[in-house]
Amino acid sequence: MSETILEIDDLSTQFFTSEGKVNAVHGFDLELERGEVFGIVGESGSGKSVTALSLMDLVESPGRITSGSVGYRNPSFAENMRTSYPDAVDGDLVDLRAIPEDARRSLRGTAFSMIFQDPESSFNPSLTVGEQIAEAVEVQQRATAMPRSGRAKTRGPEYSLGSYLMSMALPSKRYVTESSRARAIELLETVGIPDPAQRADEYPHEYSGGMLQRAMIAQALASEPDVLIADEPTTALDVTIQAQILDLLNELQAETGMTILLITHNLGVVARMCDRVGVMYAGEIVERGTLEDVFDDTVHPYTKGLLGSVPDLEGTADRLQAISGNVPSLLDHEMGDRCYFADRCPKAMDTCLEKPRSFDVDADGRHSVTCYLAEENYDPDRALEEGRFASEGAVSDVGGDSQ
Amino acid sequence: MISDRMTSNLKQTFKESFLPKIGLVLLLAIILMAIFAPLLATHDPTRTGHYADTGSPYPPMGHSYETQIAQDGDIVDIEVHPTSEHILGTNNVGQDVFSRFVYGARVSLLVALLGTALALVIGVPVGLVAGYYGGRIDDTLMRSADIMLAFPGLVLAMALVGVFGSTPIQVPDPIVMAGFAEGMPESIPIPGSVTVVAGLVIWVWFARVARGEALSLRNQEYVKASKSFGMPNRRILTKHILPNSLTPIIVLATIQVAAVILLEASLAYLGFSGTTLSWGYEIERGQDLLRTRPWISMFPGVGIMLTVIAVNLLGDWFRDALDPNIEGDERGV
Amino acid sequence: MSSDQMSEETAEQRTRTDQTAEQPLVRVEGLRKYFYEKDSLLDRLLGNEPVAVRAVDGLRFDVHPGETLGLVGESGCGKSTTGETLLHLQEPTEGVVEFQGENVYELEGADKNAFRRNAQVVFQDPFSSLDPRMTIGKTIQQPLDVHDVGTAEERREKVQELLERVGLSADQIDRYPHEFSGGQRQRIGIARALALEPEFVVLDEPTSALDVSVQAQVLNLLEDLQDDFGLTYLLISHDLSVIRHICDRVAVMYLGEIVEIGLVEEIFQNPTHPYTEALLASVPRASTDERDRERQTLSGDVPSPRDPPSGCRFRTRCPQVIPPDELDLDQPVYRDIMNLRELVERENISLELVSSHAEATDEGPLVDEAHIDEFVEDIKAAVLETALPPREEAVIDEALAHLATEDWDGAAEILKDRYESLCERESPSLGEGPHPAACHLYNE
Repeated sequence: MSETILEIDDLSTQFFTSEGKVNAVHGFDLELERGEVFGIVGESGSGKSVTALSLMDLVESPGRITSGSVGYRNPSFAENMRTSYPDAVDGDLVDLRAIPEDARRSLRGTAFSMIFQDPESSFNPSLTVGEQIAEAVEVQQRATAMPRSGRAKTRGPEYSLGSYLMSMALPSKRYVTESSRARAIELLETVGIPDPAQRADEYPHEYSGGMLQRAMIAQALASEPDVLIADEPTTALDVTIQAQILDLLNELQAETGMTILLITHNLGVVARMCDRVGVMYAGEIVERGTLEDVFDDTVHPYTKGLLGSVPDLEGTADRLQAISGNVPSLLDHEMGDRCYFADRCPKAMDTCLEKPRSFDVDADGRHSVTCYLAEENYDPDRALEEGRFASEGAVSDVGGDSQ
Repeated sequence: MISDRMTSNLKQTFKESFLPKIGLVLLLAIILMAIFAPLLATHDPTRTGHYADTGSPYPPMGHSYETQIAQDGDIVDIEVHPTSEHILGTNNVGQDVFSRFVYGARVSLLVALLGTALALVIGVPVGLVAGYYGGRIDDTLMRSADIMLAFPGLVLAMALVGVFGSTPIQVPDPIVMAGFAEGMPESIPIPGSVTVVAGLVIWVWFARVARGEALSLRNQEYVKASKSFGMPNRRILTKHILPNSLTPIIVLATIQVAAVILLEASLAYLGFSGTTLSWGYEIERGQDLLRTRPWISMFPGVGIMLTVIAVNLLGDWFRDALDPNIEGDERGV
Repeated sequence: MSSDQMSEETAEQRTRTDQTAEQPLVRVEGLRKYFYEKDSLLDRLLGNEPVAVRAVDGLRFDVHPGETLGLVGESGCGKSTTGETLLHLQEPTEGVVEFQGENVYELEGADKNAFRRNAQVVFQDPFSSLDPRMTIGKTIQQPLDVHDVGTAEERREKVQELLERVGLSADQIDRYPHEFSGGQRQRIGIARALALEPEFVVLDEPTSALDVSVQAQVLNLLEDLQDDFGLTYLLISHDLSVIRHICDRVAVMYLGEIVEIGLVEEIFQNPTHPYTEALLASVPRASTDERDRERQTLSGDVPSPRDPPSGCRFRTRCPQVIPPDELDLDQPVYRDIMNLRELVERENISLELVSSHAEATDEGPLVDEAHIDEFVEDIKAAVLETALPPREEAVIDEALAHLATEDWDGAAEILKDRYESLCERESPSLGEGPHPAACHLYNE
């Protein structure tokens, strides 16, 4: 096993709504290895986007990370943190939940970058694309300029109110420096935008969707992040453009060796991109392993159902194996303490009324499943009667999944 | 149009929250006050005081109000501070401020409610039709609306009052006629033309909001689906477009009620209203004396403020209760 | 009308369907739908020319009774507009749609009513396709109300029946849309479309807003309903796997035109049009072999339908553009040159930014005579991706030198003379037969 870069342990994020506590993510464990592409796949409401936001520390009220630790391995960062927060540091590993927010924020964009689903709403329509990327470059340069305090120094003459007013009054006096602009153009070129010098001065509406997604990737790369979190990066795009963007991500990953956490609902995208996969359901990973483990030696009935639901592009037109029912309620008081998939599971047994732990499928511990079927065989005599759960067919749009 | 669920939602949100209750109580109080004005008023609101030496409600030549007051004793019933006789004092011509406050509610409320209603009746259909059909119909209707918008509201209102004339309609007061309130004026002057003019000035806003709503709603797939099974356009407008555009229209209406009260006040001040018995008129009249005799315009001001707050609170309540995406009590299938 | 009568009517419709089995249920001929921008009163007064957006530009296809025809393409290719225009939810700019042999656009009165009953639509967005202020019972009942079918009680019964049929329970009839999940709402939309027992249903991206597991439920339901009611579907989708799964035939659209049409198996196994081929290759498969699958991705973006390319509309992205006979060029090089031509013709190279030798002045040439060679090299470095053979290099150098004096037309002329392709001169026509494709390669 190569070195881990992120060690997430028992992460939980809850939303406190008028209906009650919503467990968007709970008990989430993940070890991300340096340089791998890890895919998190799940349906809407499974908590995959909230997971990404939790890692970026971008969860907004009424949501809050309620427990867990996020360990980030980076020798120099650990060194910086060791004196101020010795409790948070373990070797090279820094527990990000144990350091104050401004220290954590300095990592955002430098250690972690994120790209979002909707490129159109991710750019400010009234600024040029180049300016916005240069801004990211600027912020990152300031953040790394004073690493010792671990604090992003985002105050500088260019950020003063006076210069801001100047830039509003005189369009020629832009907010960013010449060097960051040059870097922005370089980044645009890296992500395959033709004629980047000219396109940098164009506004988002002059870009096509695919181009904007490229520009967003450029912005995320501004800081040469260790971990790139890509939240449904191709969902809003057409297939031919999706293919371009996936190729681009693959190339960039090969060039820079960065780690990519790819969040998607599209099993094809996962198959194209990922080394390892985690299947998310109702806020937790129910099956994880290498792509081959999960796709070919599937254990969890949900994963099987998901794979069976996808119409095959090449195969015969058999009836699809749909999963019955809907995504369950994530309300804390409605969730109970059982396998959350049991009410939709074709192989639910009486044991499933108790919450399963994570079982290892094979000896090396790389393929694990949260399902009793990993340990025992299905016994039809012990099957749960149908309609066992009152929440069947309940409205399920409560989740904090922000898609 | 307002379905069972909406009424139940209205009831429920009313029960659950405090603010709509305040709004409703306030508005009811103001409306009751307006209706029963002759019983509540302590004096004839139109009866003026006079200067002892001249017998006129206006000061003698060469004297300002201020100097006149300084020479106390010459004045009877002019600009009295609140006393037990005049609980809110009197204004600069000696009229009882409390009685005028009570009576003023009648005119202000009536003009505001009727004016807004008229604007709704004109503006909403125009806007919905323009937005729904689009094209030339839209161009024609909305450009004519734009022309109205090009004039400042007050100037347009003055011009229109000029056209309609400003003579108020004298409506006999049933309470006084029935003999319940001795010594009160037998009829009240309602500025009919101002009401119509207010409607004509503000309908454009309703048209614009309704058009915007219709424009986005007509692309909703349920509207397309209705077309696909042959639902006539007029029915789509009443069944789908109108109910779904109500929320912003109601919110706008609450704002416009306040705007009409103020418009009437301005017109009254400029002498275009035809009535001298409204909150707006009182405010404008007391403006010069705000520093020394604040009560003259303060109480009508408070009246307008309370009305606007009440109407806005009710508007918020409507908006929250009528939003179909806020879940009611039937949650959990 | 009781439910008995209703089923009698279905039987009658069936026999009618049988009689007309030979001729198509829907025949589309030369259908065009342009949207006009800058067409308001103000623009007319200012004398602005309206800009035509050619959403649908000359379609011809048939839908046969009982089949499912797929319409597939990327966003902006005009597939949804086709569906809506075909149902006369939008006025066509030109063309004919025949339903059971009668021109839909000329129907009046009772005939129009009959068409509105017989052709229905299911939309993509389960959230905007239902009126949030109406109970689902009322929503489904609406078509019955509009066409005055049966008594109030019979309608309600019919609605309950439909709810059960699409997999919801009849006692949910008085609930509101917000109480249902996306998949359930889509079922409600399907129930509404079936209320009048139509023969033809346009399914406009019926599952693209749904999760895969729910999508599978809805697709299965659609298949069952087709069998039970003998429905004919026009399925509009961008998702090739859905098309593959549910359709009998498929038409592939690109920029308002059909580029290829035929049986699903044939098109998916032997795509003839380069676009279909690229589209199929682009879809990532959900299998572990996916990583090693070789595929060629299309470069660039879809051109604007306001100003579509001349000739074959796909030629700006096509990996197999036909070079002039006398040229012997590899496809990547030719593609590269074509991209350069495109940029020159659209005057879309920012010379000052690309080359340090270019300097904008009010008078005189952009580039000093002495530096023209460097200037040309700079442009080539910025725009071209492949190395050119010497003969072509000479031509291109000559053309680009014209840019030194900002003579875009001169440069374009030289390039056009040498590199103009058949694909840009002539628009390939969609031929006849069971599996035609609009491509010069195929027609030759």
